[in-house]
Amino acid sequence: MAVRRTPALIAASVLLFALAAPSLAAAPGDTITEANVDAVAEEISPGVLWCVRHGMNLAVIPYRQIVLPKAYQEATEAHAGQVRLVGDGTRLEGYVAGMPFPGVDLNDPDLATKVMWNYYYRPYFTDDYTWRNFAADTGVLNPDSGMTVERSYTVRHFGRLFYNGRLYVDPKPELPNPDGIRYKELTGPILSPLDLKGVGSLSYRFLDLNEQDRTWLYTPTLRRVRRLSTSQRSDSVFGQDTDLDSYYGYSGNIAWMSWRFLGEKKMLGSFHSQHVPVQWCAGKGDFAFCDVWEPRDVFVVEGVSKLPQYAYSKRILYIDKETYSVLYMDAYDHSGALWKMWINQWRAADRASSNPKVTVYPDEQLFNPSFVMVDIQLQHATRSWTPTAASPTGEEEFFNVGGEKAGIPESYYTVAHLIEAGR
Amino acid sequence: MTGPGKQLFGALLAVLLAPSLALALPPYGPMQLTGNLQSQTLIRTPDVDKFQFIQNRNTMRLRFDYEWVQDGRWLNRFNLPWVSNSHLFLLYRGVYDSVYDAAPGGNLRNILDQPTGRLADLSGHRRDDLKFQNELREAYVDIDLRDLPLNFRLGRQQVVWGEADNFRMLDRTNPLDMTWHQVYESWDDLRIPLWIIKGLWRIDRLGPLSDAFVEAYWDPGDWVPAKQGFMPDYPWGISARNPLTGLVGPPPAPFRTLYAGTRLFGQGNYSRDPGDNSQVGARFSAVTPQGVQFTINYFYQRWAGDDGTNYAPVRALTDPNQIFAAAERGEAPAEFIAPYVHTVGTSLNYSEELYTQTVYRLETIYDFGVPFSDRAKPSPVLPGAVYGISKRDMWKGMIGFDRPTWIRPLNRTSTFFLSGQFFWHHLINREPTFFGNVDPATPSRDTVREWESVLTFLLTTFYGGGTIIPTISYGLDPVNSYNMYIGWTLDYFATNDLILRVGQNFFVAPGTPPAFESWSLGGFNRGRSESLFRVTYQF
Repeated sequence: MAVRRTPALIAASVLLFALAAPSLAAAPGDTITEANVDAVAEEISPGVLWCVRHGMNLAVIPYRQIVLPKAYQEATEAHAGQVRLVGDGTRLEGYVAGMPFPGVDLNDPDLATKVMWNYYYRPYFTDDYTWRNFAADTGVLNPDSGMTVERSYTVRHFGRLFYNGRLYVDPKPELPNPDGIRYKELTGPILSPLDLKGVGSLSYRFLDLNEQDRTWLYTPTLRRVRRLSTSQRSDSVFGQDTDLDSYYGYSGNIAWMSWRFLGEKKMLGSFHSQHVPVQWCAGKGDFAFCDVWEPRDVFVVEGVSKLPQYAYSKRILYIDKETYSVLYMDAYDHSGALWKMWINQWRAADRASSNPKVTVYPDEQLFNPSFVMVDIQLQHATRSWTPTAASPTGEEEFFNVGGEKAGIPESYYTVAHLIEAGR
Repeated sequence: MTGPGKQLFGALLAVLLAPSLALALPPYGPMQLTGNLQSQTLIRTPDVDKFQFIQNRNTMRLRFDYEWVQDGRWLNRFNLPWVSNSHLFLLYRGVYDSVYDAAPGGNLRNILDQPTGRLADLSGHRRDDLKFQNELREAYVDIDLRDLPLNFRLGRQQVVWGEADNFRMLDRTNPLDMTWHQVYESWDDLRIPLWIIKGLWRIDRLGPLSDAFVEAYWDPGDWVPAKQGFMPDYPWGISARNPLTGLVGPPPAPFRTLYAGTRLFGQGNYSRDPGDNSQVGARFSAVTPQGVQFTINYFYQRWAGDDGTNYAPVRALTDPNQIFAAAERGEAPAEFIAPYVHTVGTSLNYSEELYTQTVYRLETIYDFGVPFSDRAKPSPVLPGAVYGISKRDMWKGMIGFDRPTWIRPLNRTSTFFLSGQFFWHHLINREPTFFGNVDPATPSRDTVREWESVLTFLLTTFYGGGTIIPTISYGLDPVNSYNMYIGWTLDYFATNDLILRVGQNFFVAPGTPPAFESWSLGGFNRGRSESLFRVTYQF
């Protein structure tokens, strides 16, 4: 199958995409509000359109290029040529590090799957990642007054330790990996509220995509670690609006969905946010962040789950071509109606805060100051963010610095640690 | 101010100050003070036209967490060469049971629906003793060593192992305080914390096994038997009067104490020191390449008597020398016993995702030398009242499943968590002369059986973004007259910090005469259907 790989061809194809795309109705300096959103309805997803109609504002700025980390680019150039899809696209062969399929061909019958593999091995998430001391609110949306927060959570860590495709921290490109792990993920402990204080979960994702995740949950009320079934990944987490598969737009296994390429578009996305900590919109739009948005070239990909009893009939991902990060994701119910959406707020920068104590990165990273997931049918939303106003340094997000520096050493990604830390 | 008055004043002061102190600490800081205030009211509804105020328990919990060693520095000032991190944990619980002041009228009733006295019958001093509890429940230090994959937890703590929910097999380190409500209060509150030294060694990889670790503990002398309370002192305790009333106690009771000063459910014939009252436990845990997580466990500890076994808490003396010695001291010719018991066991869990999308859980143990009352060994002094014991081994187990299940007509955003468990107890070499202790006069009602079993089911889900949590639970004892338990609760988070719970349970004991199975589904709790209202404010 034809895959274009040379940098020149990549650049040419990107240029062609840009020239072919129609110009945006939204211009830098515009603020998209409920009053004028209809004019840009094609430049945002139906989910974002709903949010703007319910109080979210988009301040438009010019496009700014995001240069991928040098190590990631070098790994892509060194190894992409040897990668190929096997097993109906459910597995990669020859993958070492970097982007598996740079310069995807729009005529490639496996285009959607390859886009999703690029997303799966996207930059920034290569060695380890930590989102620390984050907060989450969930509540009902009132048509006039905004979100009534019903439950608030603060959590110590969300961390991932990647076992392959590593670029920065030894050993690389792969940790000793007899179990064939892609990454381990640790969430917790929950710091508040008290009824959930101490809850923590550990999950393993495997390189063999036919192998299901393994997940354990420490529950303080039981005082022990409990094994969880991971089959119902579209189930809401603690009853709120988010589900495990929706993290970042999609966090499930590539093999668990049938992917279909819907096209490419120029759309608005928030990639150079200016407010740290996040600034929520005023009034009835306070469930969502208000920051700057810019034109981005995106792939639009539809995913239909292969898993039984999946909550959504399909999800549509809007994936930034430059960073392979999801701008937003719309999820539909089984009657075909829009049900939920996930919106990422991104901030390309070389540091987490103006005065970082841990690190200044040699390349721009894609920080995630906040995200929101909205259930438009129940008029309910969950928003999450870090740093919060209570963060002493504002430096709560780490990329590829090694677990020790980020506060999650490798030994934390074990069942034993869940037990040690449980109380 | 009187003693109870001082306690009440102190409690009120703490209640007023604790939330503001907690709010003054940063949410992510190394020092955290959290807690809750809870008021729980129970109305007993044995019949549709009978209601009885049973409990109004007001509880304050204060929890203090302090990460006092971080990156090898204690209090951010002193270097500790061997320690990487350490954590101090304190948990206080104070209780005021207003029912002892209210002293509502009406007789409490036992399992045969016979009156067992009223709270108002208790003396004022006795009620004062019962209405307050002040306890530093847990106080321990976690220590992570710097250069070894070893973690210690030292102090007063709970150790919870196994796979079973709300039944005891591998979760047997901490005895239970059965004077707390077994249905409406969590096991976290029922377990009696003990002073324990516990270590966990992270092995991680061991041949084909992953996530391997060894955990072991030693309780150097702090072990206590399960705490039991009788009516009318504890309206939610054992559904009977103390069987020793009138037999052991101040005159005119014929005996001053049980033999050797032992106390029923309080103190056996041993000293509370490391040489006479230790307990140890160890387990090895790992995950197989197929994803099966398993443990192998061993315990050596005194028999606490809180796992549903119809065991013998009292042994009649049969040795003439002991009987004479007891008589000389004014002691009864019987003693409360808590013999050492060896227990080996294993547990495992496996998540089968392809066909059933279900987590399967298994837990099984073998107890060596559990004591049973034996009619073949009558007391020479009190025949027909107390008996000697015989020891037997027991095999116990549980197989269970957890399945998140979509029932979309009822809830389209959250699955229903469906959990089922089947338990069994098998008494090895049971003798027909064995009998239970609740109603020895009527063996058919309190039989020690060769096989006992019970099934439980639980169904719960989330509504309203996680603010409404209904739970339905069901238990069935197919061996003893199909006794059963049906209960529901509904939690509503009025705000993030204010939680309301209402609930109702029904105990059904259809047999005539009723069978007193010891798992307390419908036998021991016959006539104890109750309505619950609970308010919790957390900070």
